[in-house]
Amino acid sequence: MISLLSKNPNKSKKSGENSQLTVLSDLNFDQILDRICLEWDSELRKMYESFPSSKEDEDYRKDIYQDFKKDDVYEIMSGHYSLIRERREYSARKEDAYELIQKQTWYLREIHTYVSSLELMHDKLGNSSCSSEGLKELSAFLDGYLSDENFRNMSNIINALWKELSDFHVILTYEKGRFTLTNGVTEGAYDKFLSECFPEEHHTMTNPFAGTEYFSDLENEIIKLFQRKNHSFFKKLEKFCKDYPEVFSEQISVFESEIPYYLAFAKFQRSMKEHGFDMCTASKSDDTLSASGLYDLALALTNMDNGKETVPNELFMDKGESFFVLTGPNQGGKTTYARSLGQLIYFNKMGLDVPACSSSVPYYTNLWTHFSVEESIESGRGKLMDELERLKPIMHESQEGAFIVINELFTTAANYDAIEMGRRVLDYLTGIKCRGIYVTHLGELSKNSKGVVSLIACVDENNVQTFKIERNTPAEATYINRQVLKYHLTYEQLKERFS
Amino acid sequence: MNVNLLYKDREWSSAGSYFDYNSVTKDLGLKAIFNAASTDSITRMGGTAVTSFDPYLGLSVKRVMGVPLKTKEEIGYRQEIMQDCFKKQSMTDSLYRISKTVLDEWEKLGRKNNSIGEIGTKAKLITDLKVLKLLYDGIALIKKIFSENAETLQSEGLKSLYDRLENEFSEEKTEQLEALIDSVSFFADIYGNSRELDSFSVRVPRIKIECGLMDGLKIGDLKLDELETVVMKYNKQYGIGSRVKGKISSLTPGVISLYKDQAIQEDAEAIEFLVVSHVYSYCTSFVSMLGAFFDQFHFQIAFYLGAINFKAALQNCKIEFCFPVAEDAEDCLEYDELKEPVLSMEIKGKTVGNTGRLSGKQLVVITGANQGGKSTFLRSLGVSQLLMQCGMVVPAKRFKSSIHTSVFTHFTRREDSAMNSGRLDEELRRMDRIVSNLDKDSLILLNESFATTTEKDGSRIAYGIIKALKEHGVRIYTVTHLLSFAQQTYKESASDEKVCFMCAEHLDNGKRTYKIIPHEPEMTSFGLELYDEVLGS
Repeated sequence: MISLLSKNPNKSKKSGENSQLTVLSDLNFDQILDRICLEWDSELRKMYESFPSSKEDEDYRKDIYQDFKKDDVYEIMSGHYSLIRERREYSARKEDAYELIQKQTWYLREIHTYVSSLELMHDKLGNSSCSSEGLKELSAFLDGYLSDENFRNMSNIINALWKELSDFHVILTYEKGRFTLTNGVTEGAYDKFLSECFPEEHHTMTNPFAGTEYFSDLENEIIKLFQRKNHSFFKKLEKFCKDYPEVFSEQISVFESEIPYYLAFAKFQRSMKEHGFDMCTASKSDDTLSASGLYDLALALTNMDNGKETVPNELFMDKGESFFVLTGPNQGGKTTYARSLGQLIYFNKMGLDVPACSSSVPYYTNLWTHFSVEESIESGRGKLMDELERLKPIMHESQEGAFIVINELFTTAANYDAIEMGRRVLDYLTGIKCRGIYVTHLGELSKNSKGVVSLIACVDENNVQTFKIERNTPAEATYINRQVLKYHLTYEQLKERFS
Repeated sequence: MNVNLLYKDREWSSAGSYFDYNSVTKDLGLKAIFNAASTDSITRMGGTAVTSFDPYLGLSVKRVMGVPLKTKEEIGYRQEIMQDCFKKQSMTDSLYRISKTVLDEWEKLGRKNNSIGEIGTKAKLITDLKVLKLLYDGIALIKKIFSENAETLQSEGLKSLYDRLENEFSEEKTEQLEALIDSVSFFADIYGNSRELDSFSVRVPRIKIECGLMDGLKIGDLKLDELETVVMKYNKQYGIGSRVKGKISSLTPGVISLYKDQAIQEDAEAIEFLVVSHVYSYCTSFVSMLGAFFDQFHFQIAFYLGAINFKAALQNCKIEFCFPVAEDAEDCLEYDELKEPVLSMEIKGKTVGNTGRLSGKQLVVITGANQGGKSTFLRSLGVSQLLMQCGMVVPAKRFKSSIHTSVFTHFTRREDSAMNSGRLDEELRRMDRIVSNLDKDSLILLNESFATTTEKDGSRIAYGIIKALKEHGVRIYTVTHLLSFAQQTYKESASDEKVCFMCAEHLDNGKRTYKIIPHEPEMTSFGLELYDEVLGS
């Protein structure tokens, strides 16, 4: 069996085993996935919820996604997928149909679409610029499958039947209380007359028989007359349905279920580009983590809807550096920065493009997030206890080499305790070669620790947030001024108010 | 198809209306003009004037007058049409009556509840077809009236409207429309009495449709090849004859008989409905266009008919009138025998006309005797300005004025008892709103503004405001009793040619002429004389 998601599908863990649900909600992935999966089946979402099980699979997916980004491959896959959707629709209609001859014609339509869509994809893929191992395997499979003699025979029969059915036209005349039916075509003279009268107007006549899959009484009579006049066609159709009751290949079904993983994201990426948001493929790096024009994709989506600007940021974590400690004013973009960093790692691990203009990312064994939550009423535990419990799986030797995003730990603890505990967490994680970012209001955490880099969320000369993140030492005093100014409570402001 | 009788290049819209037009209407007493416009004094039967009152005419005049024309060309365009309408009063009247009848009939057919283009029931489709026929007949009548008068029309506006009608409804187009309407006449009784059938006949359809076979063998891809209404002898559907015929045709191979069962009859009716809906779907834009045309035409022609009525009212009162001359030049104002129409119509023209040359004067300050005709004069200037800027005639032998982007009135409203407290506050607020809305090309009429406080305070306020307005470039006509203000302005503007002072004429024998003449401001408003006259010394 060949899979587009894993190089060795038989060895890989099953989907859902390494699910990252906490990470997803902390990084606001819900909003991103809502957008990506908007027009797709619910199955797709699950595919984005777990990481590939090995570095090899990450690279395998990355290669395939590079192919999907190419215009020609994107067009081929989009076209194919819309035919898959059509085919599924026909299959549902077949199930719903009441009359046997209706079921048969829907089946003819379904199989005709299946055959022609595969033939089309095969032709186009062979001449496309695809170069990934995964798509080449798909192409090779189609070579064999479509040239098989059974498939060829079936294809010929279907095409002939389909042409015959499509060419049928009848003329229905209604006068003096009766309908008559003849085979043939007309000029559509009255429609032409209408178009001459009103050249600007174009209307299609509403079909009186539409709206239901069932035949109306009149339609039933018409089809009966039609059947009588075209007896041989219906005999052939009946034979086809008996001869080919089951035609779908299992391998094709696997491909079809996996194509949306890449296609949906490529479509999403294109729409983001139209709105001015770049995404790029992160290059591989041994040790340096960097990005230019990095942004929080979830925030960008919200801002896009509200017409607000999204401020991009720079990222650079050099060899030998392991943790960012990010401090700064409230509402200054700290959490957003941490999220964008998490999203960068996440998408890269999935083999997809990342929300930045350019980027280079080393391999991380895993991605963990720890965001502060409301106190859990259900468990009855205190918030600190909650936080510690949730830290447990992260603070474990098995997480060596992972990337960790921590947002505000120990806020309910006393300052001294919080600083001490925070230091221990940082020391432990750097000790097991984890890297990550720690957002906190405790500037002390950025001092005197090896490998820890202090970042701050900046403000301008008027103490207004710029949402820019820079390497700098924490400067807490300015945050207080900003709050006072905001409420017009400085000495000068009060004087002016009273004058 | 645009009507364009109010503007050369567009239809009527209320955008660009005077600021607080209701106050302007009230301050200048325009209601009397709207009433005159509503009163039809044209129709005469056997030499007797039969007057009728149509408030829509006054309303149209009111609304059109509320949006000032801004260029000489715009005013000229409307005046030309007005002259044609004056010459062709019965044509104007007929055009108005036709549009009114069409819109009234449409209203009866339930226009408000039936929006065009909405797919609905059989009853709605029948109504739609009736509306189509109504509008089509209406436009044909309008075209006919135009063609009868075409040769004598002079104005660009009416001539080009006629051209548009000719183009839009050419003979070929008319034939097509009639054929179309006839082909669906089986569905709705659109001919009424005009093409009544005998009681043994009925209109039935003949329909030929080409169909393809779609997915699931459903019938689709329909093309309408033939549609006509045929008159045939009426058969009782369930009569013996019909049943026999039905039986025979139901046995004929290749034929589906309607008499076979009820469900098939219902399907046939559905086909009739959808075919007619299909035909009508082509007509929806046409109907919308005609509907919009009639709405605009009715409104625009009503304005001209209202203006004719106003002119007739002036004539009835023997008040001279003229087409005013609009000038691009700043601060132009010349008038001969200018009268204030409201008062003049009320007392049948026995009012005094004013003659003056105030070109170049940006600020006109009018002071003088009470009951001397100051306010009337101020109103006559305001009303004439509004009449000029909507293309109507002005009650004067001659009137020439600059075009203003807008006209504002700030009149003291003594009659309003609700304003007793905080009247100065109210005045200032009103002035604030005016100031926020005016520009340098505006005209403002002040009538005893800021008289609600002491003379000293009122003068100071008026001085500041008027000085600022003048420096901004606004044209100001003010009637005032604030003599300190008037005196101070007079002193400071001795060498300023842009300022002019006027007084109610006051003869040496103490008699008032009600004429307003250039004169330096006096220290008295002659109130004592009036007191003496009324109460005796």
